[in-house]
Amino acid sequence: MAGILLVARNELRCILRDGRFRGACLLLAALVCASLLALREERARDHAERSEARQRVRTLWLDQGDADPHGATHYGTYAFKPVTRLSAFDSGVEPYAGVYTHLESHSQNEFAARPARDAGPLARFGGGSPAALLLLLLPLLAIFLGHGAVATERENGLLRFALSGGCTPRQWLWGKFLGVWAALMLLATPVLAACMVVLGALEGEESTADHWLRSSLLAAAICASLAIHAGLSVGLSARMGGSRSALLALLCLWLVGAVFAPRVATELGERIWPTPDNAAFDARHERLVAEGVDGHDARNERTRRLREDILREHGVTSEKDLPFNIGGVIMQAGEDYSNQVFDKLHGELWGGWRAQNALRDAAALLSPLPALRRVSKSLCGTDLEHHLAFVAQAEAYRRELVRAMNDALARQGPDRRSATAPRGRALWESVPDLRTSQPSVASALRWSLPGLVGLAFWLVASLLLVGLPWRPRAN
Amino acid sequence: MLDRQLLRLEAKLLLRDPLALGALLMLAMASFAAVLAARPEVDARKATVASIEAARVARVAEARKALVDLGSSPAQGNQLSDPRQPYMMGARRLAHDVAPEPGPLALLGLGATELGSGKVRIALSRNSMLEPSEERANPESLLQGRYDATFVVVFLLPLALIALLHDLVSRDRALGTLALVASSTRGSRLVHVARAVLRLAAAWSCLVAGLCAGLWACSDEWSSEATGLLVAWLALAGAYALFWGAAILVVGSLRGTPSSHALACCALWTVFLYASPAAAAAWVGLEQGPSRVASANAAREAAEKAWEARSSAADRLLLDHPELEQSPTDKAGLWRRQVELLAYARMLDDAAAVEARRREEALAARRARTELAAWANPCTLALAGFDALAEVDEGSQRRFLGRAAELQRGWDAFFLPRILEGRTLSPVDLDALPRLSPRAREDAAILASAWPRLGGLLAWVALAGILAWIGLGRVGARPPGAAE
Repeated sequence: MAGILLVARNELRCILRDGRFRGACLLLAALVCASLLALREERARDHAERSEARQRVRTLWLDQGDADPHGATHYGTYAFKPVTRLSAFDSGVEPYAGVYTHLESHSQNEFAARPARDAGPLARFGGGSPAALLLLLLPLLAIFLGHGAVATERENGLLRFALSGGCTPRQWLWGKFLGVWAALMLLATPVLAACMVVLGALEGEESTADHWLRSSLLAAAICASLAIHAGLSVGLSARMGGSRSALLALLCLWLVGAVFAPRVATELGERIWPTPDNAAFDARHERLVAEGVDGHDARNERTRRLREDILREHGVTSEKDLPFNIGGVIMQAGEDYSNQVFDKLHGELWGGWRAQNALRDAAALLSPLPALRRVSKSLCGTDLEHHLAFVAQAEAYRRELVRAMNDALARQGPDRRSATAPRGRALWESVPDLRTSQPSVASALRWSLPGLVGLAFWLVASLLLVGLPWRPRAN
Repeated sequence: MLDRQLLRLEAKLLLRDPLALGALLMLAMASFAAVLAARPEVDARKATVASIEAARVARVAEARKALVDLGSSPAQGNQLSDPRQPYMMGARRLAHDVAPEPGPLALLGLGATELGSGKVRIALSRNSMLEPSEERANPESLLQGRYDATFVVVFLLPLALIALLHDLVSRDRALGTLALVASSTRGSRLVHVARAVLRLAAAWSCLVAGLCAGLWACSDEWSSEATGLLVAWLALAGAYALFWGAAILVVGSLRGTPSSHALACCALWTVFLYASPAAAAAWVGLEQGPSRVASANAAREAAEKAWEARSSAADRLLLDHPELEQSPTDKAGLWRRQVELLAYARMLDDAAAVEARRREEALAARRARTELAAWANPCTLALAGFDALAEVDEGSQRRFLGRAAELQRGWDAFFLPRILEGRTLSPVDLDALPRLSPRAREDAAILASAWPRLGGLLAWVALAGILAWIGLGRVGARPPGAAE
């Protein structure tokens, strides 16, 4: 063990003496800080603005006066997506997923206003967040540091000399690995700590404990990924013909993970599970809804039959003889039908997206980078699953709100003059404000499982590359 | 200047280098695959436009039939839903969508088209405060970006050039033949430049061959406008390749081994394609843009105000048309109701115009920063140029929205006088319905937006070229053996 530590200390000292490494560290740290500060400002503003907007729409909802309950559901309300602290570290799908949605009857609207629309061509390079910089560039730094760790010694004829110091080749290799990893950790640790502390001071929807738990897990995943890249670099440096071939192999691995695999998997996914365009989706939706109950169209066949069934069930011949307003019941029947249509169509849409993402996750077998990015997005609460979890909460609220209003309409009696039915502010207050919660850390870990499995696979592979018996060859 | 024998010898060397050949072959295949990969998307967009147009034609035919069937019979039931009422036709029955058709070079760049407006609703009564609907798209796919020809040129072409050019000087140095090259009567600088030019030309030819083969396999029709745009696209790709060739020569002219030069070139690639855009994005991000949440709030408040004020606005409208106070068709307030709805829509239009102006003003500083940041990096400059030529940039989106707005104004101008004059629609009126203007007029604007970017890229080429020229001169001047 002492031998390993000695080699590691020497390697670390050599790396720290290298001006190129120090320059790269400074550049990377400066970039991450700049990016963090810009995103921190943006997140703080977004949080304040969305909190205010939520209060505003609630006030508008409560101040509707004595309006028709069903009319109020057309007026509806808005759901604004909350901002998490860690979204300033890895913004994930946030810029592409939309900020708010209009909650109204008869329609499950899409989330609108994607921030990426205002970003211009710079967003196409995908490196805007601290996570994108750290997760892409730190492995590259590991490659630059590690590819020649053994091969250069061999090429310079110093390998036998280095191994004559008393430690075994395996110990020497472990020492090299630890030295490279320690150098990377010296850069990553303060940068990550600074990021988490700065973001922890922000206001966010999630609890502080949740933030720190997610941050710690994320930091652990990044450290593991650095170990993977250090292990792969040193291992391949030892086991391949020379530093050039090791560099080529490592760069190919990085390029596959950072550049090729995500885009190729995206194209394949879109071909195998194509996302329907708006025109096709809306046309299908219209067709399916037209087959159901339309509360606004008395000539609709299903509406007519439902009306007759209700009258027959209550043994009356006129709507005026019913103890409730039939309009509210029919509206809710139409709503229940259209909810089934939405569940079907969105189920298919999101099923396709999940399949596309699963294909992208499979790219983790080709390179450790996609695995780490998957884990990072999930832990920062900015992956598709977190977005869909919020969409589901907003949709459940919309359905409850519409049901409550349609029930109120029915309770107003056939002539809408019932004295016992709630009206005005009392009615609007009977629907609580939209309260959403961020999915738990356990859910985030479950969603990031493909990434975690990928990281574990690459960690084992890289440690095997370092730890398996190695017979040093002279150049 | 570049003599033939030298080029022939270099071509032989190139053909014997498996790494170089592999890079060239991969480049050709990658560009061909990029065009093939874009085809389904472009076909889907064309199909969308066609289906929207088919739906519009069907609606017009249906409306014509309804008008013919009704003739001059009296209205039944709700008078507002009588198809002869121009309001009903303009707001509901003939309301239709318009979608941007893919440009002639759509196969070369998908960009982030899903971020733009998929379609715009053309109708008389509309909430113009609402943003046009965005395409449903997997946000994870949008985050990753698309595999298209733009990606191949901007990200992969530099890698192929690094594989071809990184050891142009250092390999001779490593083999000990640098002195031999320096002793050439042509001068070592010229020899290196000739070799680099040949390799660059080989890479660019492979790229063009792959793209043209892809376009030939995938394009159903090819217009003369498309040829002009393609020439501009290839010129931009050529300038971008020249920049990278010169930048790699700058690195190559420094001291070092082939490995260290490969490393330095990769670092340069990382700086230009990741670090510099990230820094630029951070700098642009410091200038906060207008909030879309604020726009949503403004939309909601404007809609409320307009709805409350619609009646008084209709009164004001009536003051301009006193002769219509006693309109012959004003039965059961029908006419007045149409005017009120129109007044509501007009107020929303006014509010939308104010909000759009506010957003534009708020965006101006951020846009200026983005543009400046794009010019500070040849990669973002090239990407912006490619996007403009493939019509997947913000400018193209704005041009489409402009055409839609023009149609919307035409739509209003068609129905408004008929409503105000209390006239009903006849089947003949439907022949004069306004249509979306064709996009062909836009090619000049597209080219106009690409030329400055090409100019900017050439400035970068000149800068890198001068540095490479100086660096290569120093390589030649260095005495043999002093390099290491």
